[in-house]
Amino acid sequence: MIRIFKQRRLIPVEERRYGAIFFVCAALLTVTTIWAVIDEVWVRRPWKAYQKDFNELELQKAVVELRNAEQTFQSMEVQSRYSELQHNLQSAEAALEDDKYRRLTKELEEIESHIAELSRKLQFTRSESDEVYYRYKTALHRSEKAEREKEQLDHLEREKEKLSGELANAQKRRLTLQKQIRGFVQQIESLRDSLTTLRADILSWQRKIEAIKSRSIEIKQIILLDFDDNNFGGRISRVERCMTCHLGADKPGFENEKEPFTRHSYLLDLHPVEKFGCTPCHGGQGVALTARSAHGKVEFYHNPLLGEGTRERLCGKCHEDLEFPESPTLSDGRSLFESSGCLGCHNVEGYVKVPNIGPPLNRIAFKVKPAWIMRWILNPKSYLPQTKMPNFHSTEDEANDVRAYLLDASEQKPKPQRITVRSLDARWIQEGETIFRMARCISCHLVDGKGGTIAPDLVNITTKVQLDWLFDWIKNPRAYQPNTKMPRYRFTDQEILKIITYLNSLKTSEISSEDENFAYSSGEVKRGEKLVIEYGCLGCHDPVGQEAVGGKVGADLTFFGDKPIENFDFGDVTNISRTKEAWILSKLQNPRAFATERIAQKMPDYGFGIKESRAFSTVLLGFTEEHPPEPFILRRQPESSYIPPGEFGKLVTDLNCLTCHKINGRGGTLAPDLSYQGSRTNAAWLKKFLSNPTTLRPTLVERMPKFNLTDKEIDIIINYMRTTLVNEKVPSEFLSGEKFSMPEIEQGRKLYHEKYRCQSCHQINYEGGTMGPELVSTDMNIRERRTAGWIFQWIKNPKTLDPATLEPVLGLSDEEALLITKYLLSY
Amino acid sequence: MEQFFHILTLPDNIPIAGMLLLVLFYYWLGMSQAVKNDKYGVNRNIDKVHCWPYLTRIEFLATLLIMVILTVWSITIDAPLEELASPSKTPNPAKAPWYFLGLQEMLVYFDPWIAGVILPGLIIVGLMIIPYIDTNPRGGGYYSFHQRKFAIIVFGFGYMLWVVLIIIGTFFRGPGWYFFYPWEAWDVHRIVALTNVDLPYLFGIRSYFWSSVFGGILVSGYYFLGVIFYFYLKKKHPEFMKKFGIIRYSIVVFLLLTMLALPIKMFLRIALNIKYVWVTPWFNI
Repeated sequence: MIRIFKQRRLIPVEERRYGAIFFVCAALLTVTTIWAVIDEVWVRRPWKAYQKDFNELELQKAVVELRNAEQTFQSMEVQSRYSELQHNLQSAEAALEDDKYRRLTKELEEIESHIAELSRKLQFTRSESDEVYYRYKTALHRSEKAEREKEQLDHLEREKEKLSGELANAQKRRLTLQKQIRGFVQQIESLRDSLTTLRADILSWQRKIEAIKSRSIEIKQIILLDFDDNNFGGRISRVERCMTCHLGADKPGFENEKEPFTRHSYLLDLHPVEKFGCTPCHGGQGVALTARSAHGKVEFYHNPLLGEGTRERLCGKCHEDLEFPESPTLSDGRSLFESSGCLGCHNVEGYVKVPNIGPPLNRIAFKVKPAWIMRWILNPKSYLPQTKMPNFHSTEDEANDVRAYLLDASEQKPKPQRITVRSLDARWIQEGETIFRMARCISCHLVDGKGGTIAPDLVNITTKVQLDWLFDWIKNPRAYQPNTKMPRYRFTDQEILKIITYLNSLKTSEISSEDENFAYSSGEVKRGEKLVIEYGCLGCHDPVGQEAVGGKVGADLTFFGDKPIENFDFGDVTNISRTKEAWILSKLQNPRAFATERIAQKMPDYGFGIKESRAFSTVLLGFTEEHPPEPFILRRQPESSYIPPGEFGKLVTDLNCLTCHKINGRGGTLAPDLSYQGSRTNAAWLKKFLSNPTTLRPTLVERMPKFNLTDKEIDIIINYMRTTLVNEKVPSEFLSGEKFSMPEIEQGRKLYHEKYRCQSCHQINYEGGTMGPELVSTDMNIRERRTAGWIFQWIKNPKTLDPATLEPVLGLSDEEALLITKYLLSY
Repeated sequence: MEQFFHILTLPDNIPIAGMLLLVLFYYWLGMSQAVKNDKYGVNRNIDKVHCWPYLTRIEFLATLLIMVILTVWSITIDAPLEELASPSKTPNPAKAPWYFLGLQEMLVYFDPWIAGVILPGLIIVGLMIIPYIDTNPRGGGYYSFHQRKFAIIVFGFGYMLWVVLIIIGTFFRGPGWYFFYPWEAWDVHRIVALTNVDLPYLFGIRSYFWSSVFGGILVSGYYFLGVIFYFYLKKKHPEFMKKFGIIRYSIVVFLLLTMLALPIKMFLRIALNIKYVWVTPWFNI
């Protein structure tokens, strides 16, 4: 090689030949240019290949459909119909060969030319007449002789008349001819139309195939106007080009194709692409045109495509609702987020306001035994396993200080107790248990592991609270806690004492001997106050004895999802992967895992498991800065603002009816909705029921507690219901005072038992199913309980009275519903 | 070495690496010619050829070749896209483009006024006045080392210094602008204690005023060496110095001493942990 160079050096410059080198270089340049063009047009644009593939796929499918359509066309019945029509068409067309038709068409032609000629003549005559008229008038005005002109004028006018008449005749004749011809032709047109309809499918598929073949390969993009924020407070549009490759996403028939042509799930029908785009729900770079960059799998991209198990994160950006079935993990996470009181310590800008989840502590000294406070703070779950209060892992000293502070700041101090354990008579246990059962306390409270969970467990309640407090509480709960859900039972003092005795007999542990005169120092109180503020007790409990301290003690979570992984502190933990999800899962299950000697962690232990932590992860990582424009956001529906008025309202507050019942959209779901109770039940039965509630369904154990209401109170309730809580659809005073005939009752019975088989769900005299309430039994009778109008309307169409009922809509006529009603009322 | 290769093959560093090789090649080319010319002598009346077509056709070839190289380069290597700019995330290390990395590296040894304004200014001014201070009539139009010793050595040294600074800035500086050997992985959490003191402090001077005075004396003494050398040169080569003139000489010696100050300062800083030699309220050297 070097030798060649050295030899070349010996040749004088003028004689050296550069031809070969030039040729090589030029060839190289040509090759690289072509390479550049191919690279630019094809290699760098893989979406072109995808579109081609998709078009072929769609073409194949269309061809298959076309074959099917052709086959149906070839089937016997279609073919026979087709040939019949063709035959008719042929005979109709043959009729056209008729002489008469020919003559008509010929005459029409002649008439047309005749009309044209006449029109021309008329026009010329008109023009000439105008000219003469001018001359005539000019002569007159010049006072010259004008007879000749007048003569000409008259002559021309006469001509005009004649021609107009002829023209009118000719046009009339033409009309008649046309009508006659149409008669011939009309039938042919309709036959032809029928023929095309038979081939309609084939034609449309052929057209579709043409359309597919003539499609051009191009970028498909959607522009979402004003979707994002820029940095200056304005809105900018978002461009999405996902459809360039994902062409089958909204086309039926592509469900089983492989990506990127697979059809999207039903959720796409709910969120059409033209309006919502793809990236607001899935993440990724909408503007990119290669798979890797469009899916955001490039270094540094902040919002890559969401993978398996994480796709619910972004639903929450528009759906503010707590429960929606398409995102179960998000719904779970949100419920947990709100019910665990996370918002008490962590701020999330724009999140729905949630009230404090802990009970007020402002009179705690009066309520609770000091020894119990200690036990509770040190380990809440040891007293109440289902509590929401987390474990702060405090030292004994810290718990003591906090206790001192709470007792000191309490507004009501303990007084010498009137009721002590010693003062309770053991003979009262049995009676207390009876009263307890009659009052159905376990509808809400847990005793012995059985019962409701919306109220505290009562097993060890006498070790927790001062007995005086318990007495006052049962007597009138609102006096201690105005927003409590506990109703005020009308017990006598003796009854309450018996209940307390019974409760005392249930206890399974003893904390310590009753400690009256419990003492604490001011130093402990001061330290306790600092601890209370530092550990954020005010995040769940209302302020105790001091002003609410501004600011929340936990980190702000508003943009938690945007936090880069570098900003997550993993402490000294090395055995988890360095991802946000791993951090969140670890943190929630063991909040103080990332503490080091220099950096403390204050978050307490909630006892979350892996499932809850995953749900939280979905919620938390959805807190990003991106937010859709206002019209897209579905705000949470506010709870109904119904407040029962007047005397009725006072009773409802006192008895806390809305804890279990719902009226007009507000209340609980443990008991029936009372919004239409006035139309639903008979006043007499209601009176009986409220005085002494019974179990209403065969499968149910629960029943309404006995409140020992006075007659006056019951009347207030009944009056309000009958006048206000009514449903217009139910006819009032229906069938009252009517007598039913035997044939009607018999017909009703037949309908009930044989035609509609109502006994599959309802019982009459213990025969029948147990899905629905029993209609007639020894202690319950639908005639007494329900109004006749309600029964009638209900049987006719239950969903008009209760959209969520399980009773099917059987489409009964008025007649049938009336007969069944009469049958039921005959018992 | 992973870090080293990663930096070397970054799309925006590939041209520098290529250019470095080219610079070495051209230097070798020139010097080999110079050696040959020095050995066999240079004949000013050698054969001449016309530029057109004998030079232009070679240039045209070169154009073709460069176009081919550029086309292939642009097809195969895409320009890099780095992270989304975010005011809350500062890249670490935040490095200047390669042509300014030399200056950024100089910032370690001098304060911003000197390293960013004075020295670059002097570089530019120095380059501009080369025609006026270079009075050597020999060595024009052909490569020669013996006939242009001073110019080649000084310029070569300066150029090499610049390139070395760039190389250090590219490959040897990591997060926090700490020194990382090329085989060390870059650790953003690394902390190295920096315990540099000013030179006067080392000599026991604690007051600011006397530190200033000390530094001033030192720096003027350094430049005074140039003055002394003038008189020495005048005695050794009187005719040359008469032709050269005192103005030219002052400029040359000033620039040369300033250029040499950089490696001296680098040594003081790296070996002796000295921060500044001369502290004043307006600038520090």
